[in-house]
Amino acid sequence: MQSPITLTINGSLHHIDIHPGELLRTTLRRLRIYSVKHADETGESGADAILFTRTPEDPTSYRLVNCGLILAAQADGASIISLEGLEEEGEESATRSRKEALSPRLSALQQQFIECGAIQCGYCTPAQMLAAQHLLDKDPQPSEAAVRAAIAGVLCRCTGYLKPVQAVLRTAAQLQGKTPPPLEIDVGDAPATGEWPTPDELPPDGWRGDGPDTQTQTRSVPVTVAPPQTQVVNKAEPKVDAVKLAKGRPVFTDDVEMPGMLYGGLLTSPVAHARILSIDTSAALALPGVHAVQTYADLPRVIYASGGQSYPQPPPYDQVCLDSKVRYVGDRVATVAAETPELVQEALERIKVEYEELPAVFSPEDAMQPGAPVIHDEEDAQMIHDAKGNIAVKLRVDLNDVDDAIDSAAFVFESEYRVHQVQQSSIEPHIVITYWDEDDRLVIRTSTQVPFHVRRMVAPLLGLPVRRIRVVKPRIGGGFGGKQEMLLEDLCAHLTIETGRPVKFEYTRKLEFTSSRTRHPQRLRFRSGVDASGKLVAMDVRVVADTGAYGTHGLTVQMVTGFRALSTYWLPAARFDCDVVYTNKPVPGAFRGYGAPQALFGLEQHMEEMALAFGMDPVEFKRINWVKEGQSLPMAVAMGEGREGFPQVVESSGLAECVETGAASIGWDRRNDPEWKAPPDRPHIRRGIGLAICMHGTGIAGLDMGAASIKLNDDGSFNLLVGATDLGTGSDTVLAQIAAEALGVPLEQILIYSSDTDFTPFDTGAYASSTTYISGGAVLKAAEDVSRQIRRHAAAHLFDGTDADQLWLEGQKVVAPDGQAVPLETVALHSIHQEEQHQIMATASHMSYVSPPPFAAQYVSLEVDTETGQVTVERAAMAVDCGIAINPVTASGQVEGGMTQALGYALCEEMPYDHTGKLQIDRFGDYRILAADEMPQLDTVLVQTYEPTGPFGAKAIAEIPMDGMAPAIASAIFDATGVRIRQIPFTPERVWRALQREES
Amino acid sequence: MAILAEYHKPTSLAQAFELLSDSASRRVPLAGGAYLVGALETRQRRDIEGVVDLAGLGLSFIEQDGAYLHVGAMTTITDLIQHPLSAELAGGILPDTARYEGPLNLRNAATVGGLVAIAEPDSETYAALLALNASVMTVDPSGLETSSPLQEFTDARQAPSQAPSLITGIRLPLGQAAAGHARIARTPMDRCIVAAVAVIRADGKSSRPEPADGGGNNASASVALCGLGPHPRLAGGPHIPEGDFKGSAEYRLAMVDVVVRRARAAAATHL
Repeated sequence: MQSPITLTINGSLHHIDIHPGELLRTTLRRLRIYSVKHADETGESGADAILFTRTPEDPTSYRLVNCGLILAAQADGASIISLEGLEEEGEESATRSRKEALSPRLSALQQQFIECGAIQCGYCTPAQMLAAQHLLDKDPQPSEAAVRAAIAGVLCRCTGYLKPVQAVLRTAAQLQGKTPPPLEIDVGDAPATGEWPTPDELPPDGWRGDGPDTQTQTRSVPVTVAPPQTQVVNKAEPKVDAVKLAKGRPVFTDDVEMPGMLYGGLLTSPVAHARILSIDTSAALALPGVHAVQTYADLPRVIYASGGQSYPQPPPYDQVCLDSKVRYVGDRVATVAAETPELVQEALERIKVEYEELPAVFSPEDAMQPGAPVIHDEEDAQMIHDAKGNIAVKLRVDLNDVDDAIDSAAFVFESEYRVHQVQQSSIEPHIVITYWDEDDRLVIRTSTQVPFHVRRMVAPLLGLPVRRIRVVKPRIGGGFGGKQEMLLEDLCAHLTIETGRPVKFEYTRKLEFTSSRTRHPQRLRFRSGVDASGKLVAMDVRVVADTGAYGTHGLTVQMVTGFRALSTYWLPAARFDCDVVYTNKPVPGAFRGYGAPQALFGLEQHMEEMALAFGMDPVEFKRINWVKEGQSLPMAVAMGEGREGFPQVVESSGLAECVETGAASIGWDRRNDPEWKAPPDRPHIRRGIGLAICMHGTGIAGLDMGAASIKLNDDGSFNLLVGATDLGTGSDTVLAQIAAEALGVPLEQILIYSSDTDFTPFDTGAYASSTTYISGGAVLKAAEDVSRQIRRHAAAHLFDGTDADQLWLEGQKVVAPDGQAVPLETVALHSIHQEEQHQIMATASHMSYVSPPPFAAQYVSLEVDTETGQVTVERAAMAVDCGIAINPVTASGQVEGGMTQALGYALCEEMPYDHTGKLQIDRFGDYRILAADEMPQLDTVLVQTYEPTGPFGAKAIAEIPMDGMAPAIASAIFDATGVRIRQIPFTPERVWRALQREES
Repeated sequence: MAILAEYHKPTSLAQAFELLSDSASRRVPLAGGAYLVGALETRQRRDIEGVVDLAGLGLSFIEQDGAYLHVGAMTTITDLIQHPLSAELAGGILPDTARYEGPLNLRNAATVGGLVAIAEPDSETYAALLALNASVMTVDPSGLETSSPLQEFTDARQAPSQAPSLITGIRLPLGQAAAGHARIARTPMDRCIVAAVAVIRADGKSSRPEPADGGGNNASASVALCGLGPHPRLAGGPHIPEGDFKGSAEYRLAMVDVVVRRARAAAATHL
């Protein structure tokens, strides 16, 4: 039964009929207020925050509330302000520059969010800005603490909050008539030689104050190699998609209206391991408005692997769309398509499933025991290493004779570490919309990191040829690897195929935790030998990894674990022995860092412990052993992406400088200050500082391929089409900067579009830290080709036959050595309309047989409460060698956001289970993502080197910030207390127990 | 999904009781919605067909009543902690603890009545109300108003034969007390694993009239604890905590002395 309500939204009165249970968020989105986002059902995300009052005549009465926790009926008569209500009107202008275009049409806050780089994926941005604006309306000069408290209810998984806080503080200054200081992104032409930059002086107590300027510092210190003289690259350009995200425009998968759209839903298994004896869907189908219920009996059984990876998919192939057996609590059982989400839920609850429960196993150790329940006993699974033994994948790589080397070593050390399961938790859940287009082609509009893989992978499951499928990737509200997976597209498409109707399928937050993807837990055992001088002679790494119920990414994640464990330090002999084991738990997959955070948690502690046991300073021990420029990475050949790799030599490394500048930033010398370490006025507190060395990869050598097309338009602008997938990282901006630089135009002359399998060329997708390097390489090639075509045409027709190689592009013109210049617009019009008519355009592909490693030093300072075990990180500093930063703002944003996720991995994020395999958390809050008001100070230092194989000297930066935090914290806890903790997360109880053991 | 057949917004207590007394329609009171709407959306509560919104009953107020502060049940947590009288109470223990109920956008919706009714085990504001010797005001269908000490009220609500009643508000004694607060959590703003709130009157006496006991409450401090049972409780009785992923029962028990000592010490410094 519907009833009418009235709402005043952004000053306009609306009369609308609502259902009794309808959320205000649903109503607002029906009214096309798309800035309010669904991220959860219990309000902790705050992505749907609005300003709400019943007394609009009093402007101070507005309160920030979550419209997903208010029934629309409750809001009857209320006044609401959404982000759309903050906009300022302005005049359109066809010729204004990018920055001129921004200023008249955006609020000061929106401008600052853009200029500061405070927007990454943009999914939480509308709510975050609304919360900030609400604060500024009440408190025009807020402290940093007030800003952090104001936005704390809006979780951000991308930024680490530093840049949003910075944007709000700068807005406050601007609104007070002050000129905010220049952004602390200091990237200039670095000296090729000379002295190191002097780090900021720390006060005598070692801690900076809490003033509003301290925690908003982001410093980029150019160090070793002068970058090329550039106009666009290596500049802090605003993100090309920032305006639409700042304005909350409908850019995400969910932000479309489709006539006749149905809603999809998933019934999941309540038991960890069972055969389905029967499913009765009749009661569900009897509900008016339910259009389809699908079970294993309704869908073709096609074996596949769900990880979004290159062809052929790495094994094992152990999944089908819907199966007659369930293998974890949360596994797929049945799907429903119905007219409303409420009907979907009712229908799901009416499906009767009879299970024959089977014994289940929840640890790899138990699963590998003789007689353990066999999780994959189906006959049609393919390429499982040992199905009866529950071993999905077995990896064994030997470099020279490890045993012999260790036997002859001067000193041998062995230690073991454990890492746990965590979840990507992008604020935008997995969401897909599928529909038939007018040509009977299936369109899949999906929040994915891998649109081209999805198209290839879903085709056989649907029985459709690839040519009849189009995958469209709108803006993505974060992915972090969780969307490097074909997770829902097949189910949603099957429902469209059966019903003929558009279907929207979106996960709840609970389903995100139970039924999407996670990070692989591992047990890692290291055994190493060193010679008398402290040089490593061999390392033997044994890993047992938990891949949950399915093997997706199980091979390749663990391969990366092995490669990172055995390549960060140079080893004459090495062994990686790994079992990837099935258990009856939710499924790990790709997660930012992809096996490296696990490896480095073990490796960095192992190295530190070994140094101390051997009697060396750990930093010096690491320094003499880490890989250096000119050294090879021998394990790279044996450990490719599920196949043999390619020889690698380190061409660039700023690691020594990272360690040096990071140490200065964190105040490393405080480790020697007894009063700092044990403050006399707080006897239960111990302080410590820790360090971890990080090394990552840049794309997958010999495998990742990206392509780009560039077309010259009549006015001298360019369309840039890329298959690369910007999931909030700013890759669209970076790729456009590369094109702009090569074509001699400002950034606004590049119109980038990504990605649509019908219109953009192929790209493997956004993973493996590959986009800037691989896709950027393609963009650079295509741009250089277009440049050649422009110069050739101009030389032939507009420069009287001048040698085209003597011309160059600069300032939107073709320029000759004699100073003659012809605008690109003239060349474009001439080439299209006047002589030798043709379209100047080019497509290029790029693949690299090398994967140059970025390096970093991660530092942490913290306090340990020795009575309770509570660890409080006070400051984290990361110095990163990412090559030349194509965009220092987006690069530093990657570091800040990555460090924040890594803090959660180390401290508070956890997926606990009960004895039946049921996950004990199903909401944010219990799954604790750090909020703005509990962050430590973050310092980012970009230590630029020039990578000769990268576009404009670039390497990767997206994943390395994930790698070093946990071992750095372990190191700092040891420094503070003398207690070594070899398992994460460092919860109060785990630390307390370790302290208790040490005491006893 | 919130699958509801009915939404009602009565304008009198009598109407509310009439709607709620119809057991066939499976209706429940709706306060701010911060808890209930989420429970409906996640299908944690599937036993509800209709809600009775209490927003029209005039229960959102804060007023001084002699030596007491009377707070209406529909008063939001934000309004409670921003009111000068409650904000100053015991040196500001209510704002101090309310920060941990959740961020601003949740505190703006959550109500005092809801906080008291749910009595979450890790609610430090509930613990502060306990230590401040708050009473819960209820009314039954006959119009009979009752005042119960907060802990008694919560204990009684667990009884299966609990008579129907609505929370109309709480009363807080306005003694010039000092308070201290100590907590253990995974992160600085996470909900606590274990926490304690200690309240001392200006004369150094406990805000509670009970005699001293051996578990933290004595003549000089009233102490309430979180994280040691299904609801926060006044210190003194036996603790039978249940462990969960945040902390085992053993850890929680071991931390009692630490947080009580720290809370009492913090309170003493505020005298």
